[in-house]
Amino acid sequence: MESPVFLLFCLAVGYLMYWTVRNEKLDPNGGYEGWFGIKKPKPNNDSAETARNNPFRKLPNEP
Amino acid sequence: MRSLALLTLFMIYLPPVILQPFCGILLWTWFSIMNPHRLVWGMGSSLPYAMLIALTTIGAWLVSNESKSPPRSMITICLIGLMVTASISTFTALSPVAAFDKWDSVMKTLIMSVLTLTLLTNKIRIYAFIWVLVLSLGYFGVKGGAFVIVTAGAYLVFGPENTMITDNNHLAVALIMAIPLMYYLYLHSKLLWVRVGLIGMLVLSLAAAVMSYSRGGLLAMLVMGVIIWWRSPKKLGLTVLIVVLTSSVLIYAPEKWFNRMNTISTYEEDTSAMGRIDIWKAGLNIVKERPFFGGGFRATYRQDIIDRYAPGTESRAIHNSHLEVLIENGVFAFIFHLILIGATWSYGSRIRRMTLRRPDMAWARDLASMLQTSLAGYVAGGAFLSLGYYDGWYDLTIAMGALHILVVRQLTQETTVPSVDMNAMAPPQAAVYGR
Repeated sequence: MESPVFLLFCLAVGYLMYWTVRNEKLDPNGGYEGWFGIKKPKPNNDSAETARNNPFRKLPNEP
Repeated sequence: MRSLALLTLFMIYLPPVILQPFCGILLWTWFSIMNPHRLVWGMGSSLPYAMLIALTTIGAWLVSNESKSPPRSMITICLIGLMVTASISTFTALSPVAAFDKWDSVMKTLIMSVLTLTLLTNKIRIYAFIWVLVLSLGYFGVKGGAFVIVTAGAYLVFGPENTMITDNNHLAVALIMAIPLMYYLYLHSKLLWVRVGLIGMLVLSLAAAVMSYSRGGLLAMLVMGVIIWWRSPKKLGLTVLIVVLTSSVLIYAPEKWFNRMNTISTYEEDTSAMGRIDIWKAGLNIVKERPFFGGGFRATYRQDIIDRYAPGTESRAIHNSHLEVLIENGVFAFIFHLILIGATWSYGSRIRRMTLRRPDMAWARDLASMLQTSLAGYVAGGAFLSLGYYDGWYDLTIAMGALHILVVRQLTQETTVPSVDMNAMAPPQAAVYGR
C-alpha cells in the first residue's frame, strides 16, 4: 500500500512542474487551470474604494 | 521497485530544469523536505540527487533571463547574514571537524533558499512552491495518519531516516507547520476532488501530529489554534470544531499518550525535560565564554566539550531551535535568526493590512495569514526541538518574503499605471466630449 502512495506523490510533483511551466507560458496569474487550478478572485466592485485603500496611492497634490 | 520508479522519474524531471530553472527549485524543495531518496533502497538511494539538482538549477539560472540578483528584502539580508556567521563560527568552532558536516548541509540550504527567493517572482510560482511543500510533508501526514488510525495510536510515527524530520517530535512540528498551508490550498483550489483530497490530508496530518506523542508538537498546536480562533470570523463554528476534535482525542487516545502529555506539568520529574534544561545551561556557559560565534555546530553533542563547560551534564542535542542558533553560532547569528522571525511576521501583517479591502487579492491575504500561523507553530514547537536550520522553516520565510515583494509591486504599479493611462487619454477625450 505504501508504494502506490509514494508513487502518487512523486507523480504529483512531476505534474506540478508541468502545471507551473504551462501556466507561465499562458498567464503567470493562473491562466491554465489543470488539477491545481486556482479559484478566480472576486472582482473589486468599488474601484474608487480600492484606490483609496492602496497604501502606495499618491495624493492629488503630490508630484 | 520504488527505487527504480524514483530513478526513472528523476531522469524525466531533471532535463526540463535546464529550460526552466524554477522547476529545479520545485525539485530541490521536494528532495529537501520529503527526501524521497531516503524512502527507497538500493541504487536509487545512493545517487547524489541534491548536488545534481543544485548544479543543474544554478547553471540553468545563470544562462536564463531570470534576475541575477536576489531581491532587496530583510529576508535576503538575514539569510546571507546567517551564511556568514555560520561560516565564521565553523572555522572558529570548538570542534571544527564535528561542525563541518552540518555547516556543509546548512550552507547548501541557505544558498538554495536565496536562489529560491530570487526565482519566486510571480503568483503561480509562489502557489506551486506552497503546493510542493504541502505534497512533500503531506506524504508523511497521510502515511502517518493512516498508520495511527489502523494501530489506534499505539505506536510512534517517525519520519524518513537520516533527515531533519526522522525524530517523531521533529516530524510532528513539520506536519503542524504544513497544516495551515493545506488549509490555504483547500480554500483556493478550484477542483472539488482536489479540495476533498486536501481536507483528507489535513485530517490525517493532524492525527499523525497529535499521535506523535510530541509535547512540543501539542504546544505548537495550541498556539496555532489560538491564532486561528482569534482571527476567524466564524468563532462559534470553530469552537464547535475544536471541541469535537479535542473530544475525539480524549476518547480515542491510548493511556500512554495521556501519561506522556501529563509530564508537561510535572517536567521536574521527567528526565527528558530536565536533561534539556541542563544542556541549555551548559550551552549558555559556552555562549558566555564565546559570545560572538558560539561553540560551532554540534558542540553540545561532544561529551569532552560539555565536560569543560558544565561537568556532570550529559552531551546531547540542544532541543531548542532558537537557543541552538545562539549556542552553536553566537549572538550575531541569533540576532539574524530573531530578525528573520520578526521580518516574516511583520511582512505577513503588512500584507494583511494592504490587502484588507481587496477581494481580488484575497489569495495573498489568506496566504500571509496561513504563513504567519505556520510560523507561530514553528516558533512555539521549535522551542523544544533542534530545528534551528530546518529547510521547512526557511521555506516559510522565503514564501512570505516573495509574497511581500509581489504584493508591494502590484499595489505600486496600480498607483502609477492608471495615472499614466489617464493622462494619455485626456486630450482626445476632451476633444470628443468637450466640444
